[in-house]
Amino acid sequence: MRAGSVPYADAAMPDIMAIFKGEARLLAFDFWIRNPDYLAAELLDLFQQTGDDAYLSAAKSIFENQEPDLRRVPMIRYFFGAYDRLDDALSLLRSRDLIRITGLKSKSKVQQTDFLLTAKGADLCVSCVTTAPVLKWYADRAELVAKVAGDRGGAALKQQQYERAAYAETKLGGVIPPIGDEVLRRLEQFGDSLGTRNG
Amino acid sequence: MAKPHGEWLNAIAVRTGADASRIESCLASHHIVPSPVLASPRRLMLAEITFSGVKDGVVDGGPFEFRWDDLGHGLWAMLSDRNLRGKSSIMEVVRWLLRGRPSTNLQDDVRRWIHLARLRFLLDDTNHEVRVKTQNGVTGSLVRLNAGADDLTLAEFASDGEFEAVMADFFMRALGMDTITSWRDSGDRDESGQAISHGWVAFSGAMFIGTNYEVLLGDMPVAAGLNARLTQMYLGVPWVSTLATAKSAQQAVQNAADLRSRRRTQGQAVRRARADQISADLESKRQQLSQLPDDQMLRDTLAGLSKAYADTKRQEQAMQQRIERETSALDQADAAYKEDRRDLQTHLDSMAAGAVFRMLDPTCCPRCDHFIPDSRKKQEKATHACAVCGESIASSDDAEILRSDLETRVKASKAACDKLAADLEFAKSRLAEAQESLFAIQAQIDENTARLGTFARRQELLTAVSVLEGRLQEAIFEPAPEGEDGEDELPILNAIVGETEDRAKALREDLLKDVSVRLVQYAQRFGMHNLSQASLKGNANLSLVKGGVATSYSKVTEGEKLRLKVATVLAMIEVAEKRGVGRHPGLLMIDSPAAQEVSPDDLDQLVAGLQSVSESISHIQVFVAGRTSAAITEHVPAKNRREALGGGFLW
Repeated sequence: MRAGSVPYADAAMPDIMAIFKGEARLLAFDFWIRNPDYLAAELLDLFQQTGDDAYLSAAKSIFENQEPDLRRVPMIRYFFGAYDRLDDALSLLRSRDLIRITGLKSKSKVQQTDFLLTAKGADLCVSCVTTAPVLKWYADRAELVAKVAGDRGGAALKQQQYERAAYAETKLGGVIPPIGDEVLRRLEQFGDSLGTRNG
Repeated sequence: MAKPHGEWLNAIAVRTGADASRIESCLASHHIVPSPVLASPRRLMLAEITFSGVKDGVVDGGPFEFRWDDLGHGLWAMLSDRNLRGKSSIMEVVRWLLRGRPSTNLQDDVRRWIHLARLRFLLDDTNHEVRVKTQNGVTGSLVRLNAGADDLTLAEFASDGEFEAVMADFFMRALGMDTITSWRDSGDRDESGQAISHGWVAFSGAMFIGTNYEVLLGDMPVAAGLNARLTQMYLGVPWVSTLATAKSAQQAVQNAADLRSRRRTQGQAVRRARADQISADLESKRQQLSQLPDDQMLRDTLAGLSKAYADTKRQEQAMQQRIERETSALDQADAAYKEDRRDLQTHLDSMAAGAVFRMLDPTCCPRCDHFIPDSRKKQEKATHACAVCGESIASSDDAEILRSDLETRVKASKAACDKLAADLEFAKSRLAEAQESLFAIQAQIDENTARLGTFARRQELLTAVSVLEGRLQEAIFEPAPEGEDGEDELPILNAIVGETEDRAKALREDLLKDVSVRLVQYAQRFGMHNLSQASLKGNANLSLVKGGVATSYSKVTEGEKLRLKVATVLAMIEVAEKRGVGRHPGLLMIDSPAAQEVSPDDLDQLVAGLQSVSESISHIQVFVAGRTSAAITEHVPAKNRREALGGGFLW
């Protein structure tokens, strides 16, 4: 959330460091973190678009670490995209006052939910990787996802994720299938081209 | 066959063990006739010699006639003081008329000059006459002259051949002679020889002594091989002609048997060579056959290979199924392994996160955002009841246990994975082996199937072997010796020869001894004073002791040979006269004893001896042709001589 947020300054709330806009955007982030193969696919797309070897290396690293197998946490597709209830996780953060939940409301219906990162939360993000190194993967992965997502909104990200053929083909209500094998094939092609270029 | 010969027949039957009828048929088929009777001598005396014609191409050419008509017993001479004055011709004309065939010694021009010839002779007391016209072919007749009655023409003839046949037939019957058969070899191993009959031409030779002294008696060459028979015939030995015929037949049968035996041996050799050839062929074919695989063996092999193929194919399928199962199991195990690792990772993440979050005490309720009062926080520390929800706060011990549990699961699922992977590898290698085996078996099946193609060749060889086996049996078959006539005749003929020879031998030996004694006496009277002993053998060999040294007829001088020839004839005539046996008719004509080989002394002694002999043996008639000499004129009275003096001719 910290990685996907933008700095926030409000005199009324001096302890708020940054803001993460939109629950859909958060869900999109969540999807990429939980499905490394889909993220790798995006990285390869970016590599194709930009020619930046960093994207390719990142994708490669995902497979080298068997992340599609080990880090995948399947999600359920619901209406317009991957969806998992965020409430439990958010409550955990909120109870420690690491985040605050806000948003735009019109009459009785919530238009958009935003998440505010407290100074305490921001500090934890920095300190936790020291106290529990295992968690550094999450910090790194969040940075990578934020980089892939850029400043795009949740709807745009969802649309992008939706475009993944396998994703789109997933039956309504079913578990989104892994696309690791397919992405790996692509990676190997690029790997060859990378090798050739480096060589 | 007449009964009187039954005893001879029986003796032969005893010798052979064959029955009489078989012996008789053998005798008949070989024309063997018994001749057991001793011949009694007949006497021949020339009474008149006449011939006439025209001489041409010579000094005294023109018509001529020779007539000598007062002939009788005793010594007679034809003399001239030079050679080639007709002495020999007179003798040759006589020989021609007696034989019916001119000898080769009669010169062609003399033969041509003579147009008519006549010879009158006495056979015992009966006068006979041969009358011949010799111009433009021979015609004439043989006539018996009957005193006080008409002449009886015994036979007429109109050719040389008829003339010879008439004279031979007449004299053979008159002198009681049988033809002598001798065997002449063909000179070729593979050809049988042939039997030759000798008749009057041969016999009459004993009456003429020419200038060839090669043989003791007669004028047939030694090679003819019948001098022994001729000697025995003149001696009058019984059974001689029978023996001669039997021996000839024996020889013929023996030769035929030898020939058959040789041919059989050759046949055997040919058969053996053929059998060897066939055996070799057969061996070669069998060899080829043994190198071709037995068809049944091949089919058995193929059946075995097919079964092995099917078995291996089943193994291959089983292995493929096993691989499928194990692949599937490995997939599941791998999934389980990944899941376990994921669970472990999640748990580790959770533990870490939990630890982080536990360090942060809740400040507010996540539901309502109300701050949690310190009282609740104190209570939590005291009771381990959550300050937010009141539930017991779990210690990290549980998480450690779970973590250890998860790690064990990861290990277990990895081990399962590894084992399945190893099993799969094993199954894959087994599958590869099975597939390799299948490939090899298929190759063997293909190879053996191709070899089945030799089936036709094998059948061909089997047929060839059968044919050759048949041929071999045929080739090694020895036909039993054919029971040809003659095979069983040979012992019979041997018995006939043996029996007959025994019978002839007894008397012959006696006669020969007698002749030998007298021969010595005559030869001594002819001047061979140093001859002390002579022995005439049944085979006509004459061995001598001369001057105390053993010698034989063939080794003495020509002059001595002449005297021995004459002495032999005279001895035979005398013995015949004494014993009443023998067949020499008592006529002897001796030609040209003065030829250069014989010295005048020899001739003198011979003529002197002859004169005294002719006085002691009254019925002999001896003619001597020679050069005029004191010895002859002294011993031959003038009336008994015909002489051509002063270079003239006798006719």
